[in-house]
Amino acid sequence: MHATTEQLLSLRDGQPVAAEAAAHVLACPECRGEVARLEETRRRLRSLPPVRPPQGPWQAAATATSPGSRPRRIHWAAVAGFAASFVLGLALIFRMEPDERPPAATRVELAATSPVPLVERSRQLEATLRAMPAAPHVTRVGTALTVSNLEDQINRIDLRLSSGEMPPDYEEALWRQRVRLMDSLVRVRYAQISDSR
Amino acid sequence: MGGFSDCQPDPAILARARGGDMKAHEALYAAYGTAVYTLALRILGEPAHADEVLQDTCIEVIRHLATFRDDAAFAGWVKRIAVNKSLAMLRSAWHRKARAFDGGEEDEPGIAEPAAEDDPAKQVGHATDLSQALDTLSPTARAVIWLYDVEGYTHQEIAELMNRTVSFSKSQLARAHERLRSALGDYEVTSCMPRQSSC
Repeated sequence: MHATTEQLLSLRDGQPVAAEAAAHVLACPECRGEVARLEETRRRLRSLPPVRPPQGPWQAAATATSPGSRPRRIHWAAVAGFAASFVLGLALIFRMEPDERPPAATRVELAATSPVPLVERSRQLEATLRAMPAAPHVTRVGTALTVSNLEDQINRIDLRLSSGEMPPDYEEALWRQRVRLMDSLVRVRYAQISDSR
Repeated sequence: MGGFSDCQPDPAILARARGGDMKAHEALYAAYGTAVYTLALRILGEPAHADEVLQDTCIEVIRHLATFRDDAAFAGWVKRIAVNKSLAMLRSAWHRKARAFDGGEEDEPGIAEPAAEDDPAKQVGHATDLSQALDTLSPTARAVIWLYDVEGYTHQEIAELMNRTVSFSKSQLARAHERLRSALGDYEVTSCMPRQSSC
């Protein structure tokens, strides 16, 4: 039997392999040829030409780190503003005219027993967010912090969801939590837009 | 050739950059930008994502250079930031997980793939060069082969970066090579030796 690609790669890299496999490769011209081919592929990968980046990322980074854009220390006044803005955001949501409210599709239904409906709901919420106008240039610090906080929490859940196998119950709980956070994010974004009008 | 090994900036420039001199930071960017962008593009396969990784890496360098004192390790530091950001971007693509629920390919438990191999646009004929062949790999396999074969990471390091096992890294590397061979149409060596079969 020929050696597997994993064994051939180990031989290429001087790592230990089963004695039987090593003996086979020594005696097998095809396997030796395959080791040479794997070595050649690595050489070709390393000699791929570098790709010159566009100028955009530097300009964006320079702008983002200019003194006026540096994140400020959070003072008590900012914390108070955050709390006030959060309350205001909630008030705006409940004060909105029906046609200004988030679409019904964004409301969370938590009766699902498998992640599939939750994944679908997550998708709908993503689509809703994408369809919303860009955030206004001027926005309340508290609202911006709320949005940022929600996005951070969603990112953390995404990390967990993609980090490996997990019990179905736990995975479902993560999706449920993601949908809740996405729903909140959509609502805050609606409030943000309404507030800027 | 524009890799991280070529990125050893002048200590005087590093000192000026630490002092907040943006011209010095721009000079640093000129030194590491291509290496970061190339790494991110090879791992992620999408120029827009590579732009984002480069921008985020650049911001992190600007913000934290003042606290980084080991000039000789500058290239390694930037590379570590770029690799972490590239892998974070791979992980954060939650919709890839969603594909698995739709019955899409799930040949790697735990990390769902966008299944580049299933993209008909990428399967028309064999890739004509290695760069195109890389694009036909799944993002995880592409990341592993690039980190291992080009950037010199060990399987142990890759496993830690990806929060997976060493055997996962090894199997992804083998899979990446098998798919590259297939994409490149390099059948002549292997036609009589399909994986794990007898002569």
